[in-house]
Amino acid sequence: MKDKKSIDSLLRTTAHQMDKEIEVEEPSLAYFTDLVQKETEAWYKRLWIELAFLWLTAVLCLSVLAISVVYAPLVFIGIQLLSVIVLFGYFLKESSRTVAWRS
Amino acid sequence: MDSNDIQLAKQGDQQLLAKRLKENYSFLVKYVWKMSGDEQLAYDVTQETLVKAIQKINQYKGKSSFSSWLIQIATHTYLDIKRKQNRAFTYEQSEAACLKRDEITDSMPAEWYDVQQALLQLEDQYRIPIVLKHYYGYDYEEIAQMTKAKTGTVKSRVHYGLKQLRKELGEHEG
Repeated sequence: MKDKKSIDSLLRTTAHQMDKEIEVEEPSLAYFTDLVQKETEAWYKRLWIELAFLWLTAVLCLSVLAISVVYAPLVFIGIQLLSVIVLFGYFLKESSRTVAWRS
Repeated sequence: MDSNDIQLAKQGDQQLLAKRLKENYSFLVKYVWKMSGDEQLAYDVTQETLVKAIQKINQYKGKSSFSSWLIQIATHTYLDIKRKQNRAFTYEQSEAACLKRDEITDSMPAEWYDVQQALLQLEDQYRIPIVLKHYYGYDYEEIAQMTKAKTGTVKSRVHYGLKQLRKELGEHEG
Protein backbone atom coordinates (compact mmCIF):
# COMPACT_ATOMS: atom_id res chain seq x y z
CA MET A 1 0.00 0.00 0.00
CA LYS A 2 1.35 3.36 -0.95
CA ASP A 3 1.91 6.04 1.66
CA LYS A 4 0.90 9.68 1.21
CA LYS A 5 4.33 10.83 0.06
CA SER A 6 4.69 8.22 -2.64
CA ILE A 7 1.15 8.89 -3.92
CA ASP A 8 1.97 12.61 -4.09
CA SER A 9 5.15 12.05 -6.03
CA LEU A 10 3.48 9.44 -8.25
CA LEU A 11 0.70 11.86 -9.13
CA ARG A 12 3.20 14.63 -9.86
CA THR A 13 5.29 12.33 -12.05
CA THR A 14 2.19 11.08 -13.87
CA ALA A 15 1.06 14.66 -14.53
CA HIS A 16 4.53 15.57 -15.81
CA GLN A 17 4.67 12.44 -17.96
CA MET A 18 1.21 13.08 -19.42
CA ASP A 19 2.15 16.68 -20.23
CA LYS A 20 5.04 15.31 -22.25
CA GLU A 21 2.94 12.58 -23.91
CA ILE A 22 -0.03 14.71 -24.92
CA GLU A 23 0.48 16.45 -28.21
CA VAL A 24 -1.96 19.30 -28.74
CA GLU A 25 -2.82 20.55 -32.19
CA GLU A 26 -2.88 24.29 -31.58
CA PRO A 27 -4.66 26.45 -34.16
CA SER A 28 -3.03 29.61 -35.53
CA LEU A 29 -3.50 33.08 -34.06
CA ALA A 30 -5.73 33.97 -37.01
CA TYR A 31 -8.16 31.26 -35.90
CA PHE A 32 -8.39 32.75 -32.39
CA THR A 33 -8.77 36.28 -33.73
CA ASP A 34 -11.57 35.13 -36.01
CA LEU A 35 -13.22 33.21 -33.15
CA VAL A 36 -13.06 36.24 -30.83
CA GLN A 37 -14.52 38.50 -33.53
CA LYS A 38 -17.35 36.11 -34.44
CA GLU A 39 -18.29 35.25 -30.87
CA THR A 40 -18.22 38.89 -29.77
CA GLU A 41 -20.52 39.84 -32.64
CA ALA A 42 -22.84 36.89 -31.89
CA TRP A 43 -22.86 37.82 -28.19
CA TYR A 44 -23.79 41.46 -28.82
CA LYS A 45 -26.44 40.41 -31.33
CA ARG A 46 -28.01 38.05 -28.80
CA LEU A 47 -27.79 40.71 -26.10
CA TRP A 48 -29.50 43.22 -28.37
CA ILE A 49 -32.33 40.78 -29.21
CA GLU A 50 -32.80 39.91 -25.52
CA LEU A 51 -32.89 43.59 -24.55
CA ALA A 52 -35.33 44.41 -27.35
CA PHE A 53 -37.57 41.55 -26.25
CA LEU A 54 -37.39 42.73 -22.65
CA TRP A 55 -38.34 46.30 -23.60
CA LEU A 56 -41.17 45.05 -25.79
CA THR A 57 -42.57 42.97 -22.94
CA ALA A 58 -42.24 45.90 -20.55
CA VAL A 59 -44.00 48.29 -22.97
CA LEU A 60 -46.75 45.72 -23.56
CA CYS A 61 -47.32 45.18 -19.84
CA LEU A 62 -47.32 48.92 -19.13
CA SER A 63 -49.76 49.57 -21.99
CA VAL A 64 -52.17 46.91 -20.75
CA LEU A 65 -51.92 48.35 -17.23
CA ALA A 66 -52.50 51.89 -18.46
CA ILE A 67 -55.48 50.87 -20.59
CA SER A 68 -57.05 48.85 -17.80
CA VAL A 69 -56.62 51.71 -15.28
CA VAL A 70 -57.85 54.55 -17.51
CA TYR A 71 -60.52 52.61 -19.35
CA ALA A 72 -61.59 50.20 -16.59
CA PRO A 73 -65.35 50.48 -17.41
CA LEU A 74 -64.60 50.06 -21.12
CA VAL A 75 -62.55 46.93 -20.46
CA PHE A 76 -65.38 45.63 -18.24
CA ILE A 77 -67.97 46.26 -20.95
CA GLY A 78 -65.66 44.73 -23.55
CA ILE A 79 -65.33 41.53 -21.56
CA GLN A 80 -69.11 41.40 -21.05
CA LEU A 81 -69.73 41.87 -24.76
CA LEU A 82 -67.21 39.21 -25.63
CA SER A 83 -68.89 36.79 -23.21
CA VAL A 84 -72.33 37.54 -24.71
CA ILE A 85 -71.04 36.98 -28.25
CA VAL A 86 -69.39 33.69 -27.29
CA LEU A 87 -72.50 32.50 -25.42
CA PHE A 88 -74.79 33.54 -28.28
CA GLY A 89 -72.60 31.67 -30.74
CA TYR A 90 -72.74 28.61 -28.53
CA PHE A 91 -76.54 28.91 -28.22
CA LEU A 92 -76.95 29.17 -32.01
CA LYS A 93 -74.70 26.17 -32.57
CA GLU A 94 -76.51 24.04 -30.01
CA SER A 95 -80.01 25.03 -31.18
CA SER A 96 -79.15 24.23 -34.81
CA ARG A 97 -77.91 20.78 -33.69
CA THR A 98 -81.18 20.26 -31.75
CA VAL A 99 -83.24 21.21 -34.80
CA ALA A 100 -81.22 18.81 -36.88
CA TRP A 101 -82.03 15.98 -34.45
CA ARG A 102 -85.72 16.84 -34.44
CA SER A 103 -85.91 16.78 -38.22
CA MET B 1 -2.75 38.26 -17.97
CA ASP B 2 -1.98 41.52 -16.14
CA SER B 3 -4.61 44.09 -15.15
CA ASN B 4 -3.72 46.33 -18.09
CA ASP B 5 -4.34 43.46 -20.49
CA ILE B 6 -7.69 42.75 -18.84
CA GLN B 7 -8.79 46.34 -19.22
CA LEU B 8 -7.75 46.40 -22.86
CA ALA B 9 -9.52 43.10 -23.56
CA LYS B 10 -12.66 44.33 -21.81
CA GLN B 11 -12.54 47.53 -23.83
CA GLY B 12 -12.63 45.43 -26.97
CA ASP B 13 -9.00 44.69 -27.86
CA GLN B 14 -9.84 41.48 -29.69
CA GLN B 15 -6.29 40.88 -30.87
CA LEU B 16 -4.99 40.86 -27.30
CA LEU B 17 -7.74 38.53 -26.11
CA ALA B 18 -7.08 36.18 -29.02
CA LYS B 19 -3.37 36.13 -28.12
CA ARG B 20 -4.09 35.31 -24.47
CA LEU B 21 -6.52 32.55 -25.45
CA LYS B 22 -3.95 31.04 -27.80
CA GLU B 23 -1.36 31.08 -25.01
CA ASN B 24 -3.71 29.10 -22.76
CA TYR B 25 -5.09 26.74 -25.39
CA SER B 26 -2.65 23.83 -24.89
CA PHE B 27 -2.85 24.23 -21.13
CA LEU B 28 -6.64 23.91 -21.27
CA VAL B 29 -6.70 20.93 -23.63
CA LYS B 30 -4.15 19.10 -21.46
CA TYR B 31 -6.09 19.87 -18.31
CA VAL B 32 -9.37 18.46 -19.67
CA TRP B 33 -7.58 15.56 -21.32
CA LYS B 34 -5.91 14.58 -18.03
CA MET B 35 -9.15 15.03 -16.16
CA SER B 36 -11.34 13.07 -18.58
CA GLY B 37 -8.90 10.78 -20.39
CA ASP B 38 -10.78 11.58 -23.59
CA GLU B 39 -9.03 13.45 -26.40
CA GLN B 40 -12.13 14.46 -28.36
CA LEU B 41 -13.93 15.61 -25.24
CA ALA B 42 -10.86 17.66 -24.29
CA TYR B 43 -10.99 19.56 -27.59
CA ASP B 44 -14.78 20.00 -27.39
CA VAL B 45 -14.70 21.31 -23.83
CA THR B 46 -11.80 23.63 -24.66
CA GLN B 47 -13.66 25.06 -27.64
CA GLU B 48 -16.76 25.70 -25.54
CA THR B 49 -14.61 27.19 -22.79
CA LEU B 50 -13.04 29.65 -25.24
CA VAL B 51 -16.47 30.75 -26.45
CA LYS B 52 -17.68 31.26 -22.86
CA ALA B 53 -14.50 33.14 -21.96
CA ILE B 54 -15.00 35.51 -24.91
CA GLN B 55 -18.63 36.12 -23.92
CA LYS B 56 -17.88 36.57 -20.23
CA ILE B 57 -14.59 38.47 -20.37
CA ASN B 58 -16.30 41.40 -18.65
CA GLN B 59 -17.02 39.18 -15.66
CA TYR B 60 -13.33 38.39 -15.13
CA LYS B 61 -12.29 40.49 -12.14
CA GLY B 62 -8.63 39.53 -12.09
CA LYS B 63 -8.74 38.11 -8.56
CA SER B 64 -7.19 34.85 -9.79
CA SER B 65 -4.89 34.25 -12.74
CA PHE B 66 -6.43 34.13 -16.21
CA SER B 67 -5.54 30.43 -16.56
CA SER B 68 -7.30 29.65 -13.24
CA TRP B 69 -10.37 31.47 -14.48
CA LEU B 70 -10.30 29.44 -17.69
CA ILE B 71 -9.87 26.20 -15.71
CA GLN B 72 -12.92 27.15 -13.66
CA ILE B 73 -15.00 27.62 -16.81
CA ALA B 74 -13.60 24.41 -18.33
CA THR B 75 -14.44 22.40 -15.19
CA HIS B 76 -18.06 23.59 -15.21
CA THR B 77 -18.35 23.04 -18.96
CA TYR B 78 -16.95 19.52 -18.59
CA LEU B 79 -19.41 18.71 -15.79
CA ASP B 80 -22.33 20.10 -17.83
CA ILE B 81 -21.38 18.01 -20.86
CA LYS B 82 -20.96 14.90 -18.70
CA ARG B 83 -24.38 15.49 -17.11
CA LYS B 84 -25.98 15.74 -20.56
CA GLN B 85 -24.12 12.65 -21.76
CA ASN B 86 -25.08 10.60 -18.71
CA ARG B 87 -28.76 11.09 -19.50
CA ALA B 88 -28.38 9.20 -22.77
CA PHE B 89 -25.36 6.99 -22.12
CA THR B 90 -25.68 3.40 -23.24
CA TYR B 91 -23.48 0.51 -22.15
CA GLU B 92 -21.74 0.44 -25.56
CA GLN B 93 -20.94 4.14 -25.34
CA SER B 94 -19.43 3.78 -21.87
CA GLU B 95 -17.28 0.89 -23.14
CA ALA B 96 -16.15 3.04 -26.07
CA ALA B 97 -15.23 5.81 -23.61
CA CYS B 98 -13.11 3.34 -21.62
CA LEU B 99 -11.31 2.28 -24.80
CA LYS B 100 -10.64 5.92 -25.65
CA ARG B 101 -9.17 6.45 -22.19
CA ASP B 102 -6.87 3.48 -22.74
CA GLU B 103 -5.48 5.04 -25.93
CA ILE B 104 -3.44 7.75 -24.20
CA THR B 105 -2.43 5.70 -21.21
CA ASP B 106 -1.25 2.73 -23.31
CA SER B 107 1.99 4.42 -24.24
CA MET B 108 2.85 5.27 -20.62
CA PRO B 109 5.16 3.27 -18.33
CA ALA B 110 3.30 0.74 -16.17
CA GLU B 111 3.36 2.69 -12.89
CA TRP B 112 2.06 5.93 -14.37
CA TYR B 113 -0.44 3.98 -16.44
CA ASP B 114 -1.80 2.45 -13.24
CA VAL B 115 -2.02 5.84 -11.55
CA GLN B 116 -3.86 7.43 -14.46
CA GLN B 117 -6.18 4.44 -14.83
CA ALA B 118 -6.95 4.43 -11.11
CA LEU B 119 -7.57 8.17 -11.25
CA LEU B 120 -9.96 7.80 -14.18
CA GLN B 121 -11.87 5.16 -12.22
CA LEU B 122 -12.75 7.75 -9.57
CA GLU B 123 -15.96 9.77 -9.75
CA ASP B 124 -15.68 13.34 -11.08
CA GLN B 125 -16.29 14.86 -7.66
CA TYR B 126 -13.16 13.13 -6.31
CA ARG B 127 -11.02 13.15 -9.45
CA ILE B 128 -11.30 16.87 -10.28
CA PRO B 129 -10.03 18.17 -6.90
CA ILE B 130 -7.18 15.62 -6.96
CA VAL B 131 -6.14 16.68 -10.46
CA LEU B 132 -6.27 20.36 -9.48
CA LYS B 133 -4.42 19.79 -6.21
CA HIS B 134 -1.79 17.25 -7.16
CA TYR B 135 -1.34 17.85 -10.89
CA TYR B 136 -1.58 21.64 -10.84
CA GLY B 137 -0.74 22.54 -7.24
CA TYR B 138 -3.80 24.72 -6.50
CA ASP B 139 -4.65 25.14 -2.83
CA TYR B 140 -7.94 24.06 -1.28
CA GLU B 141 -9.45 27.56 -1.30
CA GLU B 142 -8.75 28.00 -4.99
CA ILE B 143 -10.18 24.57 -5.79
CA ALA B 144 -13.26 25.34 -3.70
CA GLN B 145 -13.76 28.52 -5.70
CA MET B 146 -13.24 26.72 -9.01
CA THR B 147 -15.62 23.87 -8.23
CA LYS B 148 -18.12 26.00 -6.29
CA ALA B 149 -17.82 23.77 -3.23
CA LYS B 150 -16.89 24.47 0.37
CA THR B 151 -13.22 24.25 1.36
CA GLY B 152 -14.00 21.52 3.89
CA THR B 153 -15.85 19.51 1.25
CA VAL B 154 -12.89 19.79 -1.14
CA LYS B 155 -10.49 18.64 1.59
CA SER B 156 -12.60 15.62 2.43
CA ARG B 157 -13.05 14.76 -1.28
CA VAL B 158 -9.29 14.90 -1.88
CA HIS B 159 -8.71 12.81 1.22
CA TYR B 160 -11.28 10.20 0.20
CA GLY B 161 -10.09 10.18 -3.41
CA LEU B 162 -6.47 9.60 -2.37
CA LYS B 163 -7.59 6.83 -0.05
CA GLN B 164 -9.39 5.16 -2.95
CA LEU B 165 -6.35 5.64 -5.17
CA ARG B 166 -4.03 4.06 -2.60
CA LYS B 167 -6.45 1.18 -2.23
CA GLU B 168 -6.71 0.67 -5.98
CA LEU B 169 -2.95 0.88 -6.53
CA GLY B 170 -2.28 -1.38 -3.54
CA GLU B 171 -4.65 -3.97 -4.97
CA HIS B 172 -2.95 -3.66 -8.36
CA GLU B 173 0.41 -4.38 -6.83
CA GLY B 174 -1.16 -7.36 -5.15
